[in-house]
Amino acid sequence: MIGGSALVLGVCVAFGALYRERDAQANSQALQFALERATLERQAADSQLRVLQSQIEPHFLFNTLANVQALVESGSPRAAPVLGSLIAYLRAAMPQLHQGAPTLGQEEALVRSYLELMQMRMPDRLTFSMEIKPALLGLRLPPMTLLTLVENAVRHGIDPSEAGGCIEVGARRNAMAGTVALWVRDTGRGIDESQAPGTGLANLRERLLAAHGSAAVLALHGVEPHGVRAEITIPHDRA
Amino acid sequence: MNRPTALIADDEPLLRERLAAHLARLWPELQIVAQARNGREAVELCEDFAPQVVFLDVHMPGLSGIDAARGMGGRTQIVFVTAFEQYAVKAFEQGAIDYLVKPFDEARLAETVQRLKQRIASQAASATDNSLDTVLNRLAGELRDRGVARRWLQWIRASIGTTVRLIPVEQVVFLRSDEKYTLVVWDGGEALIRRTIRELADELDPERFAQIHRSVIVNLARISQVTRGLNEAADVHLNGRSELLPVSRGYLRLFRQM
Repeated sequence: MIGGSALVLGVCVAFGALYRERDAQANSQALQFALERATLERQAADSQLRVLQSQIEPHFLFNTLANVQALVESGSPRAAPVLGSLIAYLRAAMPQLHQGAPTLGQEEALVRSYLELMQMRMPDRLTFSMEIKPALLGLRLPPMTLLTLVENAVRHGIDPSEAGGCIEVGARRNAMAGTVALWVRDTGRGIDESQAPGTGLANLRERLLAAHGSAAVLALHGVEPHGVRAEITIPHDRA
Repeated sequence: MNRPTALIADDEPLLRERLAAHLARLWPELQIVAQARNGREAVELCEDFAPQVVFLDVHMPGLSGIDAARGMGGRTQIVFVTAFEQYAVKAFEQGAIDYLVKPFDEARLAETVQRLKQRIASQAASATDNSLDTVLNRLAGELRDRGVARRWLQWIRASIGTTVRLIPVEQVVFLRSDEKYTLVVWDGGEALIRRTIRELADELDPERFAQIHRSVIVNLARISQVTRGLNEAADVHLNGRSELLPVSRGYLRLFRQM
């Protein structure tokens, strides 16, 4: 009798402990999820902030202005279109806190303005081409996605190279895989294996993660004989 | 009397032309004997033409303007041209060299021309040479120090199919030797590379990577825990992955504190 109730009590205590254990586990899991979500949200906000802070590089701005000044002073007919490109670039690159994700079409216009400016500055060292399927122009992207890759191609590939090179920008849908690939390929100096990766790429990875989750991939490839191809793949169900 | 001579070095052609046009107005006697598109050309042309004045852009591909200036010796009057290099501007202020900040106006260039004319006239310029060298050495040092202090491997090149993938080392989880090759396991997949574990151990930053076994290097940031096993060996567990990596006895001291 006593033994029997002790057994029942023991079982109850054991079950109670088990339930508490499961409760605690569920609680800690919920906490874990909340923590992860909060971390992701904070990272997204941080990377957004860094985009806003890190936009127009003074070195780029003053060198470009010096070129525009040269065109204006010499009365070149190129002065007006070049100034137009600079205005388009500055407007797009200005901090836009409340604007949502830009379209690929807007990003293409920004990248084209930037590349036209750089081509004016280094006409003997930079050529470029852009090939973006019109059906993709409405695609939403984190701000500065293509521009970050193109600026990297200029800064690390073309600018340090005496011979310069060519930059190709493209976007294509892969209907089979349900993805869109965006790429920037340059034939510049290429990556030195001991060159520290810039914050630009790390920030871009964070922005892609925040916008598209881990399904978005940013990969760099070497180009023969020298250069880099940066490719972003993002999920895309239907254009 | 010989006309004074000058060389203009800038990788941006519009800026070379603009400077030449303003100099033609402000200093008609000055003869621009050559224009260089990068630091290497500037040094070569300076040797060929021995100009009295060199206008040198600081930021040029290949050899920088600062390094080019060091290759020109002390006979030439050097004026640096720079867009936004505060560190350089500060140093020039302390040194005896003149500098122009782009975009500059004609009045500022006129001051430079005035200074150059005076210096050329009192050609006992050798007094400035020593201080010039000191400043150049310091600037060259500052330019180099801007990079990473120690050049650890930051990217791993892996051939995958027909392409060469560039993997940032922070994405690498671990590396395991596989006879002549090394298996790289990173967030985006796995690949074999034609480099030995020993080479990689030398080139990876020891603050971030540790060799824990004759054939294994691990990214320290990816370790979740280390468990002791038999025979004084141990296993490394990784965040979010099921593989266990062996730690051999010789490397256990790495984890004493853990």
